[in-house]
Amino acid sequence: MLETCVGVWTDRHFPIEAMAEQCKALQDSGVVDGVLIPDQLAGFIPRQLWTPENAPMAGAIADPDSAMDAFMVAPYVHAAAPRLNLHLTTDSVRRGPAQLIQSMLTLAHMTGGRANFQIGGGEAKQLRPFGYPTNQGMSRLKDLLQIYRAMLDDQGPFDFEGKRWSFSRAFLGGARQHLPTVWGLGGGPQLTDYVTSWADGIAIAVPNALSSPRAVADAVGEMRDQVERKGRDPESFRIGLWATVLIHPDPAAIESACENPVIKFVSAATGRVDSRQWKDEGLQLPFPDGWAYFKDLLPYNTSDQLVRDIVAATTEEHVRRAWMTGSPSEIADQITPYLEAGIDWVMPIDYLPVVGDPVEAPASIGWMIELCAALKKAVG
Amino acid sequence: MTVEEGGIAAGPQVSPRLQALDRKWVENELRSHGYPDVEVAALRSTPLATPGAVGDIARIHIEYGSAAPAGPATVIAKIRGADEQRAGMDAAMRLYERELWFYSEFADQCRLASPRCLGEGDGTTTPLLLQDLADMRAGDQVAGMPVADAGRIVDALAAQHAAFWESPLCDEPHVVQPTEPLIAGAVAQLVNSGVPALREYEDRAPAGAIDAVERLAPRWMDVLHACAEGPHTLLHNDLRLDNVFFTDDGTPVFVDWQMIGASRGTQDVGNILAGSMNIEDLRQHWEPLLRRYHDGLLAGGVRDYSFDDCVRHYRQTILYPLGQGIALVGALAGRGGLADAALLRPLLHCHDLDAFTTI
Repeated sequence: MLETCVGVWTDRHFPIEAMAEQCKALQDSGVVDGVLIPDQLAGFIPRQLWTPENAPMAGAIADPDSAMDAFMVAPYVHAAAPRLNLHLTTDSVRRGPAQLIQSMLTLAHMTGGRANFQIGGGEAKQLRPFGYPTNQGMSRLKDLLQIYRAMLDDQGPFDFEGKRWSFSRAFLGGARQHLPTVWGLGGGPQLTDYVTSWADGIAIAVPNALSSPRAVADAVGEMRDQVERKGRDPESFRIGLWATVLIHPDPAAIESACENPVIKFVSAATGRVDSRQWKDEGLQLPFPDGWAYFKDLLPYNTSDQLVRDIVAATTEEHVRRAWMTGSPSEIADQITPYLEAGIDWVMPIDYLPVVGDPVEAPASIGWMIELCAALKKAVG
Repeated sequence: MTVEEGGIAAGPQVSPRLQALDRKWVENELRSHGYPDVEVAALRSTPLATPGAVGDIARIHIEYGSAAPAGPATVIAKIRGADEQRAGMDAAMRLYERELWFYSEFADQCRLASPRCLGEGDGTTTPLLLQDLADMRAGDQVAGMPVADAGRIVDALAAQHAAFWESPLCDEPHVVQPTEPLIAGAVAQLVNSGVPALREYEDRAPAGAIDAVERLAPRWMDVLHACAEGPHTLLHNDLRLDNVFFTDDGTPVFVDWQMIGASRGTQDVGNILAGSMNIEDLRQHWEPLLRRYHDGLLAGGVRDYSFDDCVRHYRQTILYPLGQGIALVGALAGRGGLADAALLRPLLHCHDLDAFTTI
């Protein structure tokens, strides 16, 4: 059975009640199983591009970065729409393992075990401006996952000696009525190695990290092999997909988005996670060699020139390859082949509302529900 | 700033950025790297005998407050070169970034021992701080590698290579792929720049060997591609005896991880044996040492890799240290010392094993 999830955009400019209503609508649709709340300190849009010309919403709110604390929003969302599964994203750097695991256990307790946490190595935009180290994501993830496993598996206090953390007779209590699930978020050999060793699953972005159904099938096979080689049950290891989409039934709206500087920049920066992928696909790099959004993008510290250069170098082909586009049913047709490798969790992420007419926001939610319905129908 | 104020009394050859290293920064780094209670009172820097080629390096002497527990008396600080040429080379080759990744994110998984990391700077204003291995015996490439040390090193290499044999981690973005155009192009160019100097060695090398190198040099990209064919594993990739220290019990500790790469395991073996072992020892011991390495691979779980494969790959990959020797001779523009050792050993070994015909 395919599990669907929809990401919610938390923003302190808007009344919290609006998010509650959105989540209720998703819940009541009957085709959306969960919501994902991102733990973001900063978004993807350089300050230079946040203008009413590029994004009408910029006329109403001064910045796209006033995100709410995901761990505080999650219980509110759960109270508003208790049948939705909760998914949170965070990274391995900003919260210490003990606090993070306690939060995870708390949300698992509140939701009756329907709390899932997707954890990556951290993006520079969440780390560097705020004084967090930018070179420790993988070693911290390794420690975190091992500690998580020890916390769940050990019956009492335990010791841990890792690269970043040392625990001595550490114990968060023995209550285990409901447990969370932890997935890795992202890709790359090192993250995959850690996740297949200790996590419950992984979420991967398509077409950004894996740009074809074949690539997903290969990766799924390799990951399940790794899990099995490590003496774990490969079938209980879950693999989910984030699918980046631009939904609109009117092709003219998609055409327009392809020319939008915000969409162009985000397409260039995140369209392929590893810049080698753009080259492998025969497209010019739309940014300097060696630049990568996860280690270099700083929305408030990227030069005007670099932003201009990236937007200018981004072609319609880059944009078209960075997103699945079209009406809900057209996008469902594009996503479905990616799910055929045994994927049972999918989260479409629609970026068009960020630059679209705010009047269309309710329609966007409706299109997302249509898309989830089409995916469930296609996959079962 | 004086030593009493917490500044550094600088040695004359130490990079100004390492001279100006902030006492509080060092204290904070030590506190988050295994010395949680130290109080750094003063710093002093001295140059190392061997300066860094692309980056700057110095020994930092640390004085601690008397009331608090002490940390290491000295650490080694490494930072990117500040001048335009070296900074440009570092940026192109991502040397500091790669070494920082190794110490921050990978060293504890690596089967080869390395210095403990004691601080993780950005490489521009703050350095990498590493355990000072001065109390260990340093390898001496010019003097040559004793057979006993060679044995311990091939044992360590076998454990490392077996652990990462055809591992997905070979595709980790920080890991050098030797056929990357930027890397391979630079290597091929350096090799060809050194070829004219080879004639200075006619009195000590068979004429046929030098002729063979001259014929092969224009095709050095082919050499690199042939050497990089599978099976792949994770390599140190710059393995010279000068990059190895030995503990009291003889365990090798490997430094200089700026080029950690993925290629055939024999590349590390060929590098260290052909580049660092005196030729008579090499002639007598290369095959037993390679056999010992291969046995170690099998013991570590490697399958479907025969000793014949290993020998065939070894014969090919000893061309790699020869290329390094040629490049070094070209760069130093003359004979003697390290250049002689780095060139003549692999040149004669390649001639002995007819490596030139393997491409």
